[in-house]
Amino acid sequence: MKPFSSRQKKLIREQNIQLTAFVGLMFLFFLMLIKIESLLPSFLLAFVISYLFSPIVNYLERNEFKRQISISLLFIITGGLLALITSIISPMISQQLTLLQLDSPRYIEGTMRIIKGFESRFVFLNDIIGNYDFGKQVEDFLRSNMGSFFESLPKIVSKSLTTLILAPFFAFFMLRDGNKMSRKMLALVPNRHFELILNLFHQINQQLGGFIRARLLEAAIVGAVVWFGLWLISFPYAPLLAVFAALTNLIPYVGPIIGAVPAVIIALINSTPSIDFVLMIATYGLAQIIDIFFIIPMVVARIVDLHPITVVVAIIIGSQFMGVLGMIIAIPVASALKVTLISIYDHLVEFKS
Amino acid sequence: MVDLFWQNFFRKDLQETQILELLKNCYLFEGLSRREIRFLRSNVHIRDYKPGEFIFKQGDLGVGMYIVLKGHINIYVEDRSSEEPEPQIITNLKEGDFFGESALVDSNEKRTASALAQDQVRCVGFFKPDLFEIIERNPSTGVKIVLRLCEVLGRRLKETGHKITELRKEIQLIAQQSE
Repeated sequence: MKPFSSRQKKLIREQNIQLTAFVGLMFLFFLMLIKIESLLPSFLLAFVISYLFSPIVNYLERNEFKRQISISLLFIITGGLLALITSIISPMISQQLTLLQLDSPRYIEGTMRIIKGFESRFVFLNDIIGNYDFGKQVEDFLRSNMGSFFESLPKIVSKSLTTLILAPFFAFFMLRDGNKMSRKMLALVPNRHFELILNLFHQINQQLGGFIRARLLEAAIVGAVVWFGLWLISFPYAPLLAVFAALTNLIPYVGPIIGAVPAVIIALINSTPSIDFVLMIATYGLAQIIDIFFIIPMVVARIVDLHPITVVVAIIIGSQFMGVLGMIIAIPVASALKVTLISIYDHLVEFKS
Repeated sequence: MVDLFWQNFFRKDLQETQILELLKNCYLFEGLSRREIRFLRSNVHIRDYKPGEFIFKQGDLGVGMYIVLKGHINIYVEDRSSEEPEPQIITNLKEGDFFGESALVDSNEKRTASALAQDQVRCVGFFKPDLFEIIERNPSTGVKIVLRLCEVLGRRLKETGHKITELRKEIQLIAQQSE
């Protein structure tokens, strides 16, 4: 076997060049995703859709449906259902948004009143923070942002339309040809690293799929509980608050608290009767109890376990790069990185003798 | 010129037919229908190796098996406990042979031997993620493959058992002679 040693070195050199080219190509692809506007959100949403749909497509395929027919069927049914739900919900949501726009000056004033109340109670803090007018700062922020939010809402909706059209389009082909595409991509990997990268790819795929499905299920259940609870006590803006609570629930630790803040502010400003206030808090509490004691142990805990410090650092980094979207995708990205690093470490330390 | 055109035009089809034939004739996939073989084809990887290139090395993480589509492969082991390990060739594999199948069922399997390409080699790779994909999407095909795999592994186990018995007998004989 010795005569091969010089040839081996040449082969390893060639494979290293091949690996560098492969990593470079991947990097260029990600750079393109980030640089081209609306391509990254479309791709992310497409990934979420394909991860969400793939167990259903596989189930249909197991029951003798052809893959293409299964995917088309699923898209048609889901599209129809979404169109139906949107036609029912959109008048309700737009009515709520108009109401919120009309009410916003009152809510800003109410928030100011609450802050002023706090300031007068904690006068001693003035010595520490000096003459910093916190109330004025918040008022300016709220007035400018509330106004610009409602003005730019149609622009945001039309911008999201590109993503909403592109994402299902990408998702369809990811589901149909994902297997073929990943095989073509893996064909570029040099032989020496092939099995490691294939294994890595499979593990990340499994982890991400499970994670995305679990988190979305969690968000949907939290949203539904909040909606139902607030609707029972006839709390204003129940659908909007439920959607907000579901979305913020995707952010670990701080998300559920952020999700409840608007409802607390609305209750304080409207001087909601104390029994309703308690019931509103109980609704958010119940949603979190269901989440923490049932959904997380049964569904989410199986997925990558990240240390709380890692989670917080990942969220901060995500928010710095991509704002709220960054905060939501920080954890899946951190989980993928963790799986990648562990697998590479295992391979290098344990398996290479 | 015409020959070259036809060769290039039909090369892909020819290669595909060759792969399908190889899969159909492989012991592990015997009993699969034509449709199942085509489904299996969409879940395997084609890998090319240059002469002197390792397909895998002893001690590496093993994720699956290979079937030789073209060329020759030497399988050899090294006794890593000795200071200067001398490689010992166990077998030479040719077109249609398969190897590394135990990695399909064992978790964190380390390769117990090395596989080295003797000439230009083309292999069909079938790995754990591919088997999971088949089980997930077409369980009846998956079960057929897994049953065959169990059969192969059982046979290998029996062969190893026989070898151990023979070696024991030889050791006993040597011990008796030395007494």
